[in-house]
Amino acid sequence: MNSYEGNGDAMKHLIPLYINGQLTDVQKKEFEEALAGSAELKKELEAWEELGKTYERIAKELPQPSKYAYARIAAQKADKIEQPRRVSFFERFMPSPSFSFVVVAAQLLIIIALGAYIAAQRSEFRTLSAPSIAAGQPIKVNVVFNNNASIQEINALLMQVRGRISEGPAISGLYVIGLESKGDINDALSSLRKSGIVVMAERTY
Amino acid sequence: MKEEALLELLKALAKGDEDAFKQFYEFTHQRIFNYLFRLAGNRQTAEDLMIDTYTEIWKSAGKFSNRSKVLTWSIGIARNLAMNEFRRGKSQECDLDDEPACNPDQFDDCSTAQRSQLLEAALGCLPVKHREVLDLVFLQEMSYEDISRIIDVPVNTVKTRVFYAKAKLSTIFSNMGLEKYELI
Repeated sequence: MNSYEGNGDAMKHLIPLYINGQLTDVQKKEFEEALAGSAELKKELEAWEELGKTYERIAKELPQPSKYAYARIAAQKADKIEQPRRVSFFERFMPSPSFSFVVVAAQLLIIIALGAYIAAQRSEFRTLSAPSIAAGQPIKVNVVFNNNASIQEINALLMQVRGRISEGPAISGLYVIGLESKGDINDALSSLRKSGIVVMAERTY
Repeated sequence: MKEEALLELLKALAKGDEDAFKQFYEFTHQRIFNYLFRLAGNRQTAEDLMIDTYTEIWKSAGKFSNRSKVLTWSIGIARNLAMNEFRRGKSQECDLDDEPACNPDQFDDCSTAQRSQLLEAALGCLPVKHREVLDLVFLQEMSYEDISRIIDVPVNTVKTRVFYAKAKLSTIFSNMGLEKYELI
């Protein structure tokens, strides 16, 4: 059994290094001994030699760097000129990590501003809610006023029925009015319904 | 130039010797440029990277630890700069696993095409990481150990890539419809 058959892969891996002259003298001798005894190894060597010759041709056709290259190196080395680095589009507009914080802060401001705007839109009517609850145990009445009811008309009606707005307006336009006395509930409801500015008035349970 | 001489130049330029730096450049720039040109695919990019490489060599010469050859160390610097640049720019010039598109029609008359030209065309079709190792073996005439230091993979991986590249060339020939030119 020749050395190639017994050590095939090891010899095979030496082929490129045999061609490029990187084998030690000992390795080269061992390889050539294996080569002498193996037609298969010779055939593989031929294929690799062909590749080696192609590279020789490639090497001859490789370009040279420009004659100003060393001057550019010397200048860059001495920091005399700044070599323009090709900067990606992303890098051009995002030079530092702090930029991302600015973006996040701007987004937060936008969200807060939008939230405030939306909250303001919900307040279609000036609330007439009393700052405090009515004294005692007021009877509560659900009321919806006409859209064209003025504040003066509403205040006058509330004084007439001795009531105070305790909640509202809801999005639907519903107010909850607390009446001062139980005894007046039916009169109050009647007064509310006949006022001309109330769409709906019902007791709350 | 012999390794000992290069090492002396590197030591001198590490101390700020401009003449030593120029000599170092004269003796090494073509090989570094060749490596970068094969990686980048165009002269301007290769030259820009070469300039950055020598700037870095000037700055880092004092850190050379003599655990590899001087040229191996220098090409390693070139490679790192090139990879950083390609990653930054997401350049199409070097995606290590990309296989360039091969046009089987580039050889209309296979019978008259030079076999060497076919091989060169097939090399252009290899993924960059496989072509790179062949370039380092045949153009830079490096050992597997040197190559493993440059591309930072084990020696056995280098051997695998070298032999995979050759096998891939045969497949590329076959895909080109050039079976009769198949490599052994």
